[in-house]
Amino acid sequence: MVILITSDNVKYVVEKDVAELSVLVKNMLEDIGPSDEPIPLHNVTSTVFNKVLEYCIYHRNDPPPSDDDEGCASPLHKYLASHICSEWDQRFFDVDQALLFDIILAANYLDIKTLLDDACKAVAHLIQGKSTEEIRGIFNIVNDFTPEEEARVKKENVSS
Amino acid sequence: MRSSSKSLKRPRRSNEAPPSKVHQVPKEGQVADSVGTLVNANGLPALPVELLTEIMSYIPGPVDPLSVKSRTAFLTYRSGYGHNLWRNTLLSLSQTCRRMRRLFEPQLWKPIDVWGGLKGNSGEVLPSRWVIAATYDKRKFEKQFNEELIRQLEIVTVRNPGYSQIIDVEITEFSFKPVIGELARCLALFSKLQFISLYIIKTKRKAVMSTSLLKSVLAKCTFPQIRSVSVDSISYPLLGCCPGARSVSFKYDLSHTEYGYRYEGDLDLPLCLGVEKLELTFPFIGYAEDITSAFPNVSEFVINWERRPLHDINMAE
Repeated sequence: MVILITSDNVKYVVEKDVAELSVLVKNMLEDIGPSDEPIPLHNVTSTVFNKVLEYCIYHRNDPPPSDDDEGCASPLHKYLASHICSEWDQRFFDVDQALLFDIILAANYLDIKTLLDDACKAVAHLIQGKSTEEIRGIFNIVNDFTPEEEARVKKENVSS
Repeated sequence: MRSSSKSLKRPRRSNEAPPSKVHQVPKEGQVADSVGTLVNANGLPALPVELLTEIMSYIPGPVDPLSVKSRTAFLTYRSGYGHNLWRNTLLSLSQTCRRMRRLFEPQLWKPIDVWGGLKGNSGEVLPSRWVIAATYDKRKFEKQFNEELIRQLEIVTVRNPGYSQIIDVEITEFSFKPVIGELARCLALFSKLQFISLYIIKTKRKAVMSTSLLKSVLAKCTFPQIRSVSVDSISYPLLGCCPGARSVSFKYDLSHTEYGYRYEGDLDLPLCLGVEKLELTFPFIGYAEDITSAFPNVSEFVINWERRPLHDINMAE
């Protein structure tokens, strides 16, 4: 078992194979060797880590991601990769946006590639095919262009 | 902490605070409102660049022609629907706020694309050359192709000519000379341009006339930055302006006569000393001498027998 402590000082006792889905944790465990010393996760709160842990437990037996997948240039491969997502994953990512972006940051910090990929896919799905106003609405983005800048930017649009 | 050995192609580990906390230091492109609160300090627009890039990688973009083995493979991957979806999404995203603008404008205008299947300046999808050939009123479509090219060239030259790295265009004979002139002017400005594909959709004049117009417009032009060129048997004078080209794809656009497939005029290919890879589509090997003398240093040779009847192929040639 591995002891992990989140940034808000919540302690988790996690099975080693689950914890080692995080490359960050795996490397730290290798560095410190056999020890009961808790591993601090400075950039992850317990709220976010609960979700991360849920994902890691569910995917603990998945085959590790292949390096070949990253280098594949085929758009078909990218298209399929961006669409294949299990029902469980879809439910998992059906959370409020603040939490979704926190999961992305946590996955990046903890170096959990599959979680990062799946979370990025979920956000990409929210963006794909949307208009500027729709994207602003979905992600609460404030239009910070000056009127002159906006007029200039809009010139790029084709007439409809 | 140790970096992962497999992290080269994925975003670098970020030690930034989670986005739910307001960042005190503006990121590139972020602004503060009148009371000093940072605008768009949370959520999507506050994500680090590498994560925004990772997210956008799941919206499949255009194929990089320099990353595929051949023109045929490139055309197989190329999708009008996918390209339109990618461009519309990136355009929308880049118009939401300043930070998104700063991050995604260069990606948006890295390729200049005008070909059948993409949207033209009127918002309509441009037809394929085969549809144009079968259409009675060709002028409407001819105009759309060239106006869309001029529109994109104008945007990129105004925004930043350094954005343009890939040009993949089909143009028509509508206002042919001024359109080619403007294209040549812009090519000279696009210092980072690596790839150009220029195909001519022929509907009016004879091919030799368009070729001769091209020759006269491009006579004193040189674009040494271009590394890969794709031309047809009308637009091939462009080759003479690309002394830095290492890879050339040449598509014969031949007329079918009672004597077989023939090019209408003399194929006076310019000397391309730097070309190492040559790809020929629909080759008429009767021009073998022209080819060997124009590309004397070719070490890799690809032939695509696109639509050529087998009985027309004389292997001895």
